[in-house]
Amino acid sequence: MFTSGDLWAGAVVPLAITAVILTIGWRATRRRLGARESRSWAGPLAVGAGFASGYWSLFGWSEFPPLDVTEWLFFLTFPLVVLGTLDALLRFPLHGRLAASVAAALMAVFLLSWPLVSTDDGLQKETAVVVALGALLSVGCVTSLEALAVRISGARLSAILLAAAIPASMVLVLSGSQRLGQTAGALAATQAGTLAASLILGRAAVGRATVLIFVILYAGLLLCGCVYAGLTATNALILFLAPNMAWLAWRWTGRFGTWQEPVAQVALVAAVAMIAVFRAWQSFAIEVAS
Amino acid sequence: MANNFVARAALLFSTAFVVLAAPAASAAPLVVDAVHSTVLFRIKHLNTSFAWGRFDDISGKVNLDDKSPSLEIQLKTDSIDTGNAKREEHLKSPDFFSAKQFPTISFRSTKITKSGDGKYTVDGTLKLHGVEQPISVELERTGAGKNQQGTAIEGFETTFKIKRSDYGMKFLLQGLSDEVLLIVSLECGAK
Repeated sequence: MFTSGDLWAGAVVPLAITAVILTIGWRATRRRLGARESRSWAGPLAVGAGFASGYWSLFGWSEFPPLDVTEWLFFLTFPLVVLGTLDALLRFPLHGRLAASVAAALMAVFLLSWPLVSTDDGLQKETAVVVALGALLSVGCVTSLEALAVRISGARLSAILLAAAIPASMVLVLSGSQRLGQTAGALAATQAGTLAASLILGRAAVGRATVLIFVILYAGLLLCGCVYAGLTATNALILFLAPNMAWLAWRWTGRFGTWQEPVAQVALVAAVAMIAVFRAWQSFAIEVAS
Repeated sequence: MANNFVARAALLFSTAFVVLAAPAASAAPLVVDAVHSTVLFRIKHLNTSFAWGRFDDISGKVNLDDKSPSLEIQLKTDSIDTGNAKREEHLKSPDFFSAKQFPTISFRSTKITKSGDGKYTVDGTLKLHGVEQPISVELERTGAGKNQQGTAIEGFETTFKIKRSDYGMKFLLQGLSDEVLLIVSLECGAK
């Protein structure tokens, strides 16, 4: 059941908080820091605060340690903000960024899958494969999108991530968990917020520093959907690959004009992600009809 | 003569064993027959009508006759059955039961007192969604008989209400009531 209250809490609140923190953060520190640092340090904080506030307005404050494993997504936000901000300010070298993404992916996978080990059934082989694959793909996705982020504007990166996160939210709802779908919606709203802030700030490139926090939360949601709800591994994989499709469009549209290239990138990401929506909808319709 | 003594001694020992073992056998807990037992739940949808469901996988033991009575029931969360596969998928998800993380719902008695003819007050701990809460239910003995194999069987039933929010199940409280009615009907027999 989606109410106007859910829309307010899960979309407007995270969007507004992300956009405001990003805009204020940049404007407050641009004189002390170099333009690029001042734009990027606020990125992880803005996305983290936007996501956490959206989560909090939707579901309330979770107790610590959380009862339900999916509530770790909320608490994961805090170390990811710290890691992302440090990376933005200290400008980690490539191996440092790789180590940060491995640490973040392992932390997420451990927190989101450890309760399965303690059940009577234990960690099943297929679940273990999904979990291990999730960690590997997370690291690969962070590396891939960070490399993409330095080549495109912050606004374009936000639009690409938004084009993947909205369909992911729809697929999670269709796969049996409204809660995970709403959480993905809050994550998508943070990208709408960074997009809005990027448009306000003009050529401000918030890009790379937000990739880590977004990808780990996005991967965590897909992992939870796969393991604890009815998200199929194929749909999870499609959604995982969707934002990376921007690379293909970037290659193919190199000869296009300035505005066609970003449109083609975002459209390709959205089109691939919508395959998962179509598949989930088809499965939903068949099950409802039977 | 010696053989006769040995035979008598053996008879004495075997008789003593049967006599001593008899009370222990009668105190053996009855095992819940999953096929003839039912756990139903009822919840209000959009403050309008009641939706019903059941758990198909039930197991447990009941012992009300000896000096240390006990009752243990386990339900497999994954066996939830509402007659609609999509709704069951939703109920098993982290929105409600989170069946992968919490595969079992259990009740274990801590104190059972006879409250009337065939009636018992059962205090115990209900563990649902990973949260343990003390509850007290009125259990009624609904009958006794023999099954097709000639084994003695007994029936029990209890109806009680819980608040799902007490067990950390707080999602969609505006759409599905906090209060859930449970009807547990058990048929038990010696294993």
